[in-house]
Amino acid sequence: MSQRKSILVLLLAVAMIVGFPACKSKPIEETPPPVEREAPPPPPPPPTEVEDKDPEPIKIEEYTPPTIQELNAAGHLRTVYFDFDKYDLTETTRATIRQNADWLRANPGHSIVIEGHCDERGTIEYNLALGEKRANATREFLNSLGAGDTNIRIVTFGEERPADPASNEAAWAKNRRAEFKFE
Amino acid sequence: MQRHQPTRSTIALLALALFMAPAAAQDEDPDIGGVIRGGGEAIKVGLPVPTVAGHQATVDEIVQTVRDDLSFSGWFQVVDPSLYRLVQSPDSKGEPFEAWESIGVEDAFVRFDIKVADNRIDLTARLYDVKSKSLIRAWRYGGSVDLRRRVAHTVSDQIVLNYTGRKGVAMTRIAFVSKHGENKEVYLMDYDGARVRRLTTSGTINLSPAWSPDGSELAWVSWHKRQPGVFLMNTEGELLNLPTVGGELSSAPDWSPDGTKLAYTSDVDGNSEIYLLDRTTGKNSRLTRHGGIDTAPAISPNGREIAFTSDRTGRPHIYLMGVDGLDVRRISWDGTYNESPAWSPDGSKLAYVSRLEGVFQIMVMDMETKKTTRLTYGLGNNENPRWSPDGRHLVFASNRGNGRYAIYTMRADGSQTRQLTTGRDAYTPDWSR
Repeated sequence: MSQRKSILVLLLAVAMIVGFPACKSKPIEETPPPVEREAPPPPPPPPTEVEDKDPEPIKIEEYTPPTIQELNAAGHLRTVYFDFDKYDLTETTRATIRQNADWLRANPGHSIVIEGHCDERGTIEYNLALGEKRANATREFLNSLGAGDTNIRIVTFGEERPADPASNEAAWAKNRRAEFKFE
Repeated sequence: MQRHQPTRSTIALLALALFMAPAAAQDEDPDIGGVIRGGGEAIKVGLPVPTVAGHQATVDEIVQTVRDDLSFSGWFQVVDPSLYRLVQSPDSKGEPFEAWESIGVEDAFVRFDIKVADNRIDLTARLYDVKSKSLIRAWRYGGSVDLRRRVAHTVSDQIVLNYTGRKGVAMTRIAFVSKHGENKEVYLMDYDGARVRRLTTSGTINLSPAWSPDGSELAWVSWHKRQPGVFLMNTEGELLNLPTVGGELSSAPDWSPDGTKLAYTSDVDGNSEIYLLDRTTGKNSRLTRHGGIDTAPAISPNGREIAFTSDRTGRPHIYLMGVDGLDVRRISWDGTYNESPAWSPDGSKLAYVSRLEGVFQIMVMDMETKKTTRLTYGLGNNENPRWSPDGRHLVFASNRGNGRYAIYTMRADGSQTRQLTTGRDAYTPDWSR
């Protein structure tokens, strides 16, 4: 406080000493304020050596979401398989569905269809219902695990869309399945 | 989306309805033939082909079609036509009845008088009784040359009616689906496999066409809205409204005998169950309540019961219930897989398929005694049995020949199997009433 006061007093004293004689010696004249003049531009800097190079574009990371085809080709969601004439989920099938659920939780916002399929060793009409059961059982387990906000529908194809058209045990095992497809 | 296109044949059918009313169905003599001979012995008939200059191929086809119809019916035995040359033409003394009898035509022969002019057929068929040496009946029909087979079938049905008191099945049709790559489309054909024509051009899967009892409509299963649904079309392939409950699966349509109700399967309540649509009110009612699969409903001819397939014991078996869904009881006890029930028109029998040694065979259950009879044998599958309207035959799909599926018919005792389709694989036949 006292310091700031003493500085003020000092400044006042200086102003009095400097200002007084001017006020006294010269009569007050109305003079226009001096016109402000622009300072002359500074001389250009000496040229420096610059490489003649095209400007480089700034890299922008553009995000294009993968197409449905790319998603389906990427194999994010794995097909599950069923026993002959069965629609209950085996341990292997459950493990695969768990992995699929993990992926869907980590990658929200997708719509998928679970397709239920059968091998050819049933009647056409019964296989439609069997395929529906397989797809439904798969969806129920997936939902019980939690699949984020994934939109899930099911469709049965019965025996109409075999993965392998051959008529042998190996082909039949591949055909008794529930496929996960993005849409 | 699906485009249903009218087919030439359905237009032809309409034309048939207009032109094939009997031009003049006169009874030239009292009817003395309306009796079936005892013992199931076939009626021995002769059907000579008249000579008609310039149109012999048409006339040959008409007479041969009537011969085939009568043989197929099982009521008749057509005596070898190569013997007919031993019988002289009728002269002033009338028909040579003794000559007919001498070549084995013991019961009756049919004289055809066929005129073809301006692309039209004018046909008179006269039925003669050999024993009484008399003309029994005569029929006259007209139609365009395109409809020659329908004209022939009409005559056949009248001959069968004359002897059995019940109209024959020669005018009936069979609906089925045929493979197009990974898709299937609905087709129609005459009961004898002739005049195959396509009904849908949807470019998707179509299955299980089911005739309405009056033959004017077909309910069927299609993926044209990306999931299996039951839809309705007329015989020109035009989509009609059908207020089912929908669901992610609906399938297996079957009509009540009076056409007022349609039973089908839907998973709208979370599981495949059987529903009944009342077509007069548009109301649907759920009939089954079980966590297992319930499908393939078949309404009995008296309209009071429904046979269906359920895996409620862990394996598919045939069950019965009332049309109200009550009084469910299992009726198939043999084997591990029984499916696809179909009532005979009189309700006395139920045809179904049973998996035996790894392949499907067609069985018939007597509904009174519950005794079962096996109708098919061999290495191939025999599936989807459906009855002819007179209950004397069954149509089914089989891959017995080189593994390709085709439509076959057989007599109700499993004999006289006849292949109707060739080429594209064919499935899920249904015989019109």
